[in-house]
Amino acid sequence: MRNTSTDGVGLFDPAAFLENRETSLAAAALICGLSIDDFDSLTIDDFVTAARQTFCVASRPLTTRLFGDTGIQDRVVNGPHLWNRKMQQKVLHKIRCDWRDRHMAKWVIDNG
Amino acid sequence: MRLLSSGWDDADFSATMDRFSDWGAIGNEMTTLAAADKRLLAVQENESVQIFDFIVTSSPEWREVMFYMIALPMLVIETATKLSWQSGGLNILSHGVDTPLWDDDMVTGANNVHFLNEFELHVSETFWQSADGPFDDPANLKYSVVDHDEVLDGSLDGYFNMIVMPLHRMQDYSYEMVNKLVDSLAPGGLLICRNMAPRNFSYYQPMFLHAYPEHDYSRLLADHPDLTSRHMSWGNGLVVAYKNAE
Repeated sequence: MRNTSTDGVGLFDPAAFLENRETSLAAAALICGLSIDDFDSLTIDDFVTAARQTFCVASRPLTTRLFGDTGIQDRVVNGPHLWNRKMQQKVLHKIRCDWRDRHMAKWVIDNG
Repeated sequence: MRLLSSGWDDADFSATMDRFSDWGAIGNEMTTLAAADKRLLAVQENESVQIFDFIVTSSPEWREVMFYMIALPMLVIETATKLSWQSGGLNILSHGVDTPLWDDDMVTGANNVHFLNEFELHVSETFWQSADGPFDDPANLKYSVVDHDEVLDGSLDGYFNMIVMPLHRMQDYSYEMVNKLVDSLAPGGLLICRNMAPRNFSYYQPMFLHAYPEHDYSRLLADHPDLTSRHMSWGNGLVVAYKNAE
């Protein structure tokens, strides 16, 4: 905890802010199968694409087990698809929030 | 908007919203300078990004809506802080969006105001220290800043008497962070969450193109074993939750 500033500069700490978000993003990247050796080599599009693909793939065994590989999944798998969609949305939401915060933290570090 | 009270009048409404606009203009300038990615793909319907645009471009009608969003929680919070719970003042944790709510405490130190270390705090601090800022002596404001990791590692468990958090900020966090915020409340402490029913999605989980986490977070608070949660559905929603005694 940082207490009252004595120089009027403010107490916001972009480095701590950045570290927290990168830790969170690293966890999301792990779920999505992305390498995060260098965050700067990735874009939000990379995260979004990976998250969508991950959850699309994850749904296949479930839909196959429930409905068989009969080619009719697209019409009848509303339940699993909705569940899958919801999970995908949750992960994407968190990634987007963390990515936005990371971007702003880096900008503050670079620009003061 | 016409107000009739001894503490708040029409001039207060205008001053509050002008101040909010000044704060939002700084945030809007920063996100623009930083070339923040505002594509739908990148931010979906994320109010933490959109809030600066909302504020800067607000019409008179929208100013009234926003004032209503602010005024009701302010009434509840003001009432709660008037109660003398402990000597030395209350330990209060707030999000970093600027409001007049903490002005007196930040000048006098009557209550111990803490802000989470987030970008909105940076915008607020820049605003407070600017020529348009609301304080005569911004270099000597009395407040503290808390990192997310300090909440997550449990070092602040049971410390706060009040936490004030809007949904649009809370839904940026993981469930773990929200649960740890609850842990950081002292028994009997208050969790006050405004903006809990935007789009009226608090009571069901819609399935649209993007995530709308209102329902999940409302349920998280309503079902939390350590909280007695009151959800008021008027306006855009207000949750007042009490931390149960251990």
